[in-house]
Amino acid sequence: MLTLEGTIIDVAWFDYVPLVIYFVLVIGIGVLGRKHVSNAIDFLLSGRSLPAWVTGLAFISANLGAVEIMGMSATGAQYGLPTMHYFWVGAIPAMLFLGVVMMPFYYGSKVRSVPEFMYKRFGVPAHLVNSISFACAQLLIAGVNLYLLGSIVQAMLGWPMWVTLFVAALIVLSYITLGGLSAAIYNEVLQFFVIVAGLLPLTLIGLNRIGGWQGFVAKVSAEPCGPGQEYGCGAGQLQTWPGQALSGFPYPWLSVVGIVFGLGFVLSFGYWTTNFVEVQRAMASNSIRSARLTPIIGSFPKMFIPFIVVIPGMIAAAIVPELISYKAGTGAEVQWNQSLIYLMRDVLPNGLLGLAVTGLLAAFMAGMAANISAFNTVITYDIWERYIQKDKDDAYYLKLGRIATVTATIVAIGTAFIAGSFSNLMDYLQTLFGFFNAPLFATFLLGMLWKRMSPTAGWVGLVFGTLSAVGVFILNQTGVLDLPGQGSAFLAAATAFVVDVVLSVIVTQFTAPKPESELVGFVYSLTPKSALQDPGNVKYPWYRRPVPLAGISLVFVIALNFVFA
Amino acid sequence: MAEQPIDNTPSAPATPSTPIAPTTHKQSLGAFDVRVFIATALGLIGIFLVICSFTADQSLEKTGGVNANLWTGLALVVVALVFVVWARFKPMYEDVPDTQS
Repeated sequence: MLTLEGTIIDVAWFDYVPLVIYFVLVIGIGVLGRKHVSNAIDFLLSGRSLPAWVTGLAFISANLGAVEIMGMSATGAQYGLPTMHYFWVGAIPAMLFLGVVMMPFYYGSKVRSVPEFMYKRFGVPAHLVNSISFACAQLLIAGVNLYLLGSIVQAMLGWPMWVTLFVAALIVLSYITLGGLSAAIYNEVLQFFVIVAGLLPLTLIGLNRIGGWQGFVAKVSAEPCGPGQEYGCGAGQLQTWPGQALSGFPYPWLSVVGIVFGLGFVLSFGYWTTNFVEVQRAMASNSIRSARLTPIIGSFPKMFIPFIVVIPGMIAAAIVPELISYKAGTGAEVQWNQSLIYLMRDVLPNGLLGLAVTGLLAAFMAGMAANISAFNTVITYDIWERYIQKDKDDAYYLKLGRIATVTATIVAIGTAFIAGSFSNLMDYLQTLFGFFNAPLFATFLLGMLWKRMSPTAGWVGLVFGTLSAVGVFILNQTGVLDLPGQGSAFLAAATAFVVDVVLSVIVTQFTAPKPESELVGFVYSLTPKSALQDPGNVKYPWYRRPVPLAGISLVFVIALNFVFA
Repeated sequence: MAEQPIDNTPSAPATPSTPIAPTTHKQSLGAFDVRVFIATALGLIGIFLVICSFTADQSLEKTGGVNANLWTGLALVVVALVFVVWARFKPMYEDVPDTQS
């Protein structure tokens, strides 16, 4: 793992210039941000002071990490346009739902984290399940992000893995410990623009090389059918629906149902509406209106991101010689994950190459920083302050937040090394943590809408929902069920959701509910409408209000689905 | 990237950020405005690419005949200027307790 291998691209010395410019600014944000961090709320929640366009871009940037960019371009290279479902079906509707329905509860109840909402609504057991599983998952994912970053840097610049790991960790560490969440969010917004500045030229020049959009369509259609492409090859890759290549379901109608309900409803709602990494960005904004606008504004760039991630992946598969022959089943094995790097090698001149490398590194660090800043909030407020050291002064928790950040970074380096040695183990663990999301969504939604739901039902639903997802996963692994592709993940999530809802309803019948007075602000029917939105909301023009804007976003994304059907 | 310039007037009509907060006043963030950082990064990288377009090998066979460094560089400089103008005309504020100076 520590050997210097041959790199895919040839960087010139001046390709490091954009990298240096970018990193100087990133550190600069941390150093200058220090002046603006005076208490723990500033450090961990950014003082609730940021405007919606800033938190909105940070919201999607936090998700735009290594897994997303390398993974989605690889899936694009392999299967084509069905990959768009991960964005248009698997993200936008859930983001809009978060902004319109759920955010008023999160922001309006003045909780400082998603697990804290769980605590106030369902009490200790559900809170412990949620906060501990979330904290562990963040450490794991930060490590995976870091490992991917290391392997990509090795392929691009030829640095040994351990050098990259320590340099990247040190940079993330320095700006989070100095500037806290504000610095993390500022950097995420900066990263967003650097990522776009790196990937957009790559896409446009790639399209130019391939002969424009028509050339692209012609080239992809002409691809021969290779191994593992029984559900769509050649021109079939240019249709998003029914997306059987993605779901692996044998019938088109079943694939549509699987994608809409499995990916679009359960998996993505579970991820986007309960994941504190994302929700934390919205909580840092300056009003309920801005908090609701955060995911809604984020949805607009989000729906266009696949054009600079998935499309270049497909271009790479159509013009990079190694990828063409591997896809046709005739060439030596290449890693789909490196599709973008091959494309960079083949179409970018030195100079732009440096910018593209910078964009990718920016994305990887954004992902990792987001995991770590969410982790330190949950550790500080949800675990330490609630169960270990209550009622200390603010400076104590500020210091604790910084210690948690350092610890998390060190653990992430360790996780990254483990990820390099036991990649299968990491895949399984990541899948496992994914199982927490679907039941979480069911529990949150029921808890927000149904005042009778009891605290016991809260944790019973969570635990057994998650276990049922694990059960489906094991059945599929041992061959009892036989679902290829993403089908098993869709089914596991749907099962977990149903089990959670059914158990919650049954258990509630036999256990005592929380007194209604304690549920104000947490349950829809008990919360005065005025607490769920800004009194000044109506004074804004329609295009600056959450609900109309969410409507426009929804129309856009439905239109995109039809255009590329 | 549609719809970014939606909101940069914090607490516009009538929402004190916390009901029990002591009196605060608004203070400009000055240079600690994220748009200043974006403009600096994109502007400097843009200038770098323009310089590259005159000094380095343009590899026109790679790009399909376009001087990619030059055009990307110019585009980035323009975007940077837009951010400078935007930050200049709509500054961001933060709430600062009155006791602090």
